[in-house]
Amino acid sequence: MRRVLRKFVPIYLKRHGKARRCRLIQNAFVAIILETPMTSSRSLLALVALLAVLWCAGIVAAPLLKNAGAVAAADGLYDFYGRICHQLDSHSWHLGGDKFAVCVRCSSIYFSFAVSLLAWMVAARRERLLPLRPALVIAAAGLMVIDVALHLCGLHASSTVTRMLTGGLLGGILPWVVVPLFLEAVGQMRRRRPRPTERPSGEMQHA
Amino acid sequence: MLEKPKKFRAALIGGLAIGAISGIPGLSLINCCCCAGILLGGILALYLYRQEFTDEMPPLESSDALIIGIMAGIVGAVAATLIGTFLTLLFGSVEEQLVGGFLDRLLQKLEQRGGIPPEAFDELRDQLKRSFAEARTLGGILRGLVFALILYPIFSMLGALIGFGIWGRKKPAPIQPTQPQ
Repeated sequence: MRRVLRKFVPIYLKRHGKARRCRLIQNAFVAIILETPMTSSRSLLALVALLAVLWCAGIVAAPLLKNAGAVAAADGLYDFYGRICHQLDSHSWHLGGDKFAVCVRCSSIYFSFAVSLLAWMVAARRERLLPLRPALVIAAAGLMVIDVALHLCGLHASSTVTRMLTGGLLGGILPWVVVPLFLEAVGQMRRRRPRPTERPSGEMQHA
Repeated sequence: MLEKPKKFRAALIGGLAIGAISGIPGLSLINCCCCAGILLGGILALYLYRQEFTDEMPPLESSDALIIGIMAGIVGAVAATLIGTFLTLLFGSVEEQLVGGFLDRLLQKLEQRGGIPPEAFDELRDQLKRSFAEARTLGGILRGLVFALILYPIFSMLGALIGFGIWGRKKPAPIQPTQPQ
């Protein structure tokens, strides 16, 4: 990828009459975008946390945008989140009269995931954390399934509180199980990536 | 030492499972439960991949789970779009009537038991109608594919990592006691 970009970025820039700046821009591009490593797992984790927060922000943004009159943007968000949630009005939290982009249970999962991820990041700064047992995820998911199943059978009325608790529990546990595995996986992939090899003259050559 | 098995076969099967669950109308409601179908597809892909390992191969790593989850998600996104479009083109309104009728009966039973309020019943029917209408337009199909290509790899990867947590780490083989001469 780098080789391709190094080859074609200058050609593109030359064709557009920017030959003088070509080298400078290419170097800046390579330095900023391509050569910026995720120097530590912390920076990668920060990116994941940012994405998790943005995901949650999208859920809250949908009703806010609708209230503000940006109906098209709000509909886009509802459409996007609608792929992964039933979005039933009676099962959702509301903001200014409009429902969140996902239901109470899903909102609880995503919000608690984001909060728990931030908590994990703080805890991981102090000591190396091993992943929790995946059985905990299964247990939390099991509680949620039981809540849904009993509700559908009419044996127990699932309420906002039970949805929030079961969803929040699952979302809260997930980062403590998945994030260490994710970081480990990315670390393995980095180690496997071919590194620049050193020539005998000491010049670096990119593989 | 032998090389690790190829990931494509397991990812393809897992992805097709995701595609079947997400692409078949009615069955796709499983994904309303926090993308359960996609998560399960990721877990399935990881499980199948793990089955291909032998003792002579290097151990399964979490990076394998990550890659196979993403691969299964991408295959699943494409498969779901193709299956959904194919079914709609092939059966059209017949499929809508069949699935709609089945869901109507199911939801009516749930409504009678008090498991689902009447307004939610109407909302679900509207959603089903919208999804059928969307599957008939090129714009709707492409939009669905783009959304699926963003969402499915994320959730499938999560499923595969959970699967790795469950089955991934093999215990070291017990040391065979040597027979005294």
